[in-house]
Amino acid sequence: MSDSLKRHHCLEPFSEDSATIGSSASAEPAIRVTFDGHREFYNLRGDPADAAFTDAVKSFTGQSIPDKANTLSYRECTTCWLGPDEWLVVYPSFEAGRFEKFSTELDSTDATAVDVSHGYIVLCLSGDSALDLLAKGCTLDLHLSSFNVGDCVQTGIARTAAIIANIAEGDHYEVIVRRTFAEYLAIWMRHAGAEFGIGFD
Amino acid sequence: MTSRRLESGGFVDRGKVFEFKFDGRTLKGFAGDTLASALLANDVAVVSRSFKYHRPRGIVSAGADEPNAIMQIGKDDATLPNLRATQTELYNNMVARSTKGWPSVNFDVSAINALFGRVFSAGFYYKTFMRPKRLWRCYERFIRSSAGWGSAPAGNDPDEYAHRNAHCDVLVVGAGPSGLAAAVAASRTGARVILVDEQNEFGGSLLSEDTTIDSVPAMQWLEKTVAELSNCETVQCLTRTTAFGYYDDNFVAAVERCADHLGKPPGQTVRERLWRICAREVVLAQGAFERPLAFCNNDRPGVMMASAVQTYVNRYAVLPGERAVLFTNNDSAYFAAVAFKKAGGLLAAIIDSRQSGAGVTAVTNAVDHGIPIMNGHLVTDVVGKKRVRKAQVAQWSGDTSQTIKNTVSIECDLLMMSGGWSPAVHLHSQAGGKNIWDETHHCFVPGETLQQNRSVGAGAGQWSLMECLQRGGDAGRTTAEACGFVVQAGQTYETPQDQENPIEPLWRVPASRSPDRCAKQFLDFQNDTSVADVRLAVREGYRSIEHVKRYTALGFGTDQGKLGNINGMGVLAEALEVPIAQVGTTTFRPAYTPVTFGAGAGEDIGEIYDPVRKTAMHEWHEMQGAPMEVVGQWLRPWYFPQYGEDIHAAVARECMAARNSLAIMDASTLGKIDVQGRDSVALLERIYTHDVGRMAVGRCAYGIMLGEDGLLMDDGVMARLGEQRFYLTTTTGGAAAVLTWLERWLQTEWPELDVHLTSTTDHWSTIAVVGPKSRELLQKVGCNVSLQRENFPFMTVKDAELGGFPVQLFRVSFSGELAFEVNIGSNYAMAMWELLIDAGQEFQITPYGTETLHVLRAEKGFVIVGQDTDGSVSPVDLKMNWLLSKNKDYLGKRSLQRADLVRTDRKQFVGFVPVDGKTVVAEGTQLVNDPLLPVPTPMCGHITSSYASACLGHPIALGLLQSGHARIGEQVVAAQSDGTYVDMQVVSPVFYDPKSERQNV
Repeated sequence: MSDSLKRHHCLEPFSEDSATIGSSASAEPAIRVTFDGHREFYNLRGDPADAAFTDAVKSFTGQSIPDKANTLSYRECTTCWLGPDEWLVVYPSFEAGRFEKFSTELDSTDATAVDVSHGYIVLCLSGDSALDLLAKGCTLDLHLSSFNVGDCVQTGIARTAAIIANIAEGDHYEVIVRRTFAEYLAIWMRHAGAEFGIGFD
Repeated sequence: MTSRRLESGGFVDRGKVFEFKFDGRTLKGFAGDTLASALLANDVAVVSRSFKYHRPRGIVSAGADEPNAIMQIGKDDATLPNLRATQTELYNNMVARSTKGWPSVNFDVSAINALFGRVFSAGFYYKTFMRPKRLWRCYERFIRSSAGWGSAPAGNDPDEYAHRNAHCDVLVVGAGPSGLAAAVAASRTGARVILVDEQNEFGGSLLSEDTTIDSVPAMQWLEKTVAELSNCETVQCLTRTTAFGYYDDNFVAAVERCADHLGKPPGQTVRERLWRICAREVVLAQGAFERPLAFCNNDRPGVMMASAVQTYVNRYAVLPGERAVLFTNNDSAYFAAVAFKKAGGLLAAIIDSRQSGAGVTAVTNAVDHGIPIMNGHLVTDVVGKKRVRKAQVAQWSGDTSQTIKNTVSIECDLLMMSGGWSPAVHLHSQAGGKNIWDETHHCFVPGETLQQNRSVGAGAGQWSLMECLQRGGDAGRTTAEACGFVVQAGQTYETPQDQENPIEPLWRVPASRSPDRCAKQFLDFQNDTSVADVRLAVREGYRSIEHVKRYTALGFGTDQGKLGNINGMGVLAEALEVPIAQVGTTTFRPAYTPVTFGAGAGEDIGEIYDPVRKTAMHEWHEMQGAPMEVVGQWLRPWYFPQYGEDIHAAVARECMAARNSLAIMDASTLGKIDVQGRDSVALLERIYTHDVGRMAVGRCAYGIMLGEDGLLMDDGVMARLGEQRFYLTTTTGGAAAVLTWLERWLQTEWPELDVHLTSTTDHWSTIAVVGPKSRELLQKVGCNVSLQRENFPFMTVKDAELGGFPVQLFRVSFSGELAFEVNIGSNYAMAMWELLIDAGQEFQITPYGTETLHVLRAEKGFVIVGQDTDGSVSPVDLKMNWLLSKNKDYLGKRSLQRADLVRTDRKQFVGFVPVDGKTVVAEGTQLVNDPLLPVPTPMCGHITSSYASACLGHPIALGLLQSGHARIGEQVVAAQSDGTYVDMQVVSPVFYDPKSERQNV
């Protein structure tokens, strides 16, 4: 059995009965949502003033960790700032043994990493009304003047915690949510997005 | 029926006729009407009955201050109680009903109350129904049935609601001239502006008044301004949106009525949207309310606010009467009289209470239109019951204390009144701002503000159009500048200049008898509060406006005193012989106008009321038909019935499988925390009661944590994965609280500790493989580590590969049997579960749910935190002394020495077996030593867990019993809720395998 057959992300049951809601089937809905359930997530903790730590991360990921609050760096992986000593490293796909190598890289430092790959899923939002949808559930100001490409934020959406990452120009947002809250969030999006028209892939 | 609709003018669409029903009668109106204007157009004079005396009432105002025209709108489950007809846009086929008056507003049997008006004074209910006390239940039924406005729908609300968060630099509340000027000025700097107005279109007073701005008709200016705002990308214009609450941090809540004006909203349309607006600066431009005048019978249908008449004439093209009298104490109402006259009404006279009358502009205007003016006169009373027929007019010297005898009648079917204006200081006050009494205009105006808000226009006591525009524009620029935007020079406006005479206050109108004995002079129409009621309250000793309000119900209605409160304060000030400024206002609280429950709930109903968390194996459990139990936000399988089994049969079968062969459970909901960092041991030593540092790497231990009070907070198994790395489990419900607890200590008290905590609850799924065959099963699916006792003893952990999957394997047991817990990445968990189920067939592998989990652990006397404990139980009560280290300090340790925690008669944890060997007593059942003692019988404990035990063959129970540890072997009595008693033998809580041999095999 191949690895992909054995892996099941938490929104597979939801995807099976999702469709376009709130706008005619032919029209492109104002919001599109796709699920990405097979990324890798590492929770990273360390002191950004500790060169041994920052160098180790840079040599492994090929990029510096973002030291400015609520920003992310992006190359082979996305590194989201979560707190003064906490980041979430997101790799776009699963690779056996990668975390162990990363962890070993940090062994000589005071920093730590925890593999939380199975604990999160990404809901990718796009479309003209993507921000309108987020504004229904998120109390933060996500207007371009305060939340631009390269920004990310840990916040609440409706009744769950999530990380919102602004990853590309033109209304593309990634919502990173804990696995067991993902179905709730997807259902919430289906309800809240109906007034704009929302489609799930 | 007469149509009172004008042939031309107004903003109604005569091409679009709407039919609607009012109290069963079919009537017609136009698009653009409110329900109130449509009723007036159909000459409907009586729209309601008053609260206490059931007096016939008509429409008084044209806005949020309407006290009488309170309607039930819509049918069935979409019906809405107590909507103001003046703020309800008409739609086709609207069904409206008065919320008062039985059997109808025109014939109300309870109107007999009015005959006893003197008896039903303020405080009547308090005084009358207090005794005898036992009859209150009887009184209450009748009083309740006569109270309230309208009825709530019985079924679920069929409509959609939504919430929306918004941020802006400048929020402008109110889109009259001052609000529009503010919004335009702010928007031209590039600031993000939100402009809200409760009406269906912007314009405010400009929609009712006939004036010019910059030498063009005001309507032209309005169109141009609204177009500029709606075309500006940084401006959000919201009509039909009421800002109803101003909270801390410049947070303003507003409700947008998106589809109320459409009748039934089509498809997915949101009916109402609650806006939660965070504004850096707020400009309040809400305008002002006109005050009534308190003369006798001033509540008769046909008595209306002068400005409302002007609005109905100019905006809705309705003439609310044929022959009018205007009674005023200020200049503004003259323009309303002229508007009425110009539209074709007869204006019998302007009665001005001021000896010197109005200013030049108003007087010239009236005289030009042939309206007679009587200065120094009063309307003391009106004649007519369901409609005004005559006004009683008398000359007046200006002395309020005199009584007035000689009156003349002037025939009229409309009495327009104006007692001056009160700025709408509601939001300003909610924001914490003070109000100050303006001695010139005789009204409260906004004073000092506590937040980033300012008031402009009539709402700030700025009365001329010029001042409103100018101050509005200034406010727009100032607020934008405060947000960091670059401001250009201010704009000036040109408007007609009026020469005015000042208002002279007239809080109550002298009558033919003293104010305490004359016919009712109403202050608050909705609650039937009169001048005499307020004076009575003073005679009975009330001094504070807040107390008078509660005693007389002044300002209690749906209009919250918008119409009557200031007059009431004036009357109170007179009776107390103090200046009105000293009386002050009552507290302004949200909501400004009533907000529906639907808007409050928004989308958080039904399946998204609260998150539902499911494990990675949830679908499998559902396919098996397992009923679910709600545990916190989680859904967990309760039991797995086969072939129509009931819960008892299923649980007995599941328990026996675990004891005799092989069972499997989804334990993924356990809270899991990864602990790393060089001070991990130091932190955990302070949190847990046992010697964490003594655990060898690879060992597991059962640990408990105490609150600072020494009482049990949470428990779970922890594993030492490395020198400074631990894996903690918490109870399902306690996961978030425990992580917060640890972070709190780490961040606030012990920041010197270098420890990193990460929740791994979602990452790991946990499968418990339980029973004598569990080792064989794991061997069968293929495990790369030896599972034998000598290599993998009880309470140890290993990283392993199981069936080709990377797992953490724990040899722990919550059942007392040989068992393993498999931690596996959640995305693999379903595959692993199915692999184990398939491989387990030869051992009759049996999935079990939370009920069997509970029975298995109860048989072993294992505590469930939150079920067997309730926040008042210490580890000593649980006989967990072996877990309390004497070698170190930990949270709660000192509290364990408190006098109350070392008492020997505390409730202590023990087991129970029913003496009859068959009764399963209910959990929560109280225990008594002697049931024959008189009630209230002293209780000595209670049952916390109770089950039938299949493997023991009799019921077992756990519970807390006073001095329980010393009472093993005695009997107590369980007093069941049905009045029967069950004798219970007190036993050790460990019922099964007391030497714990089975888990060690």
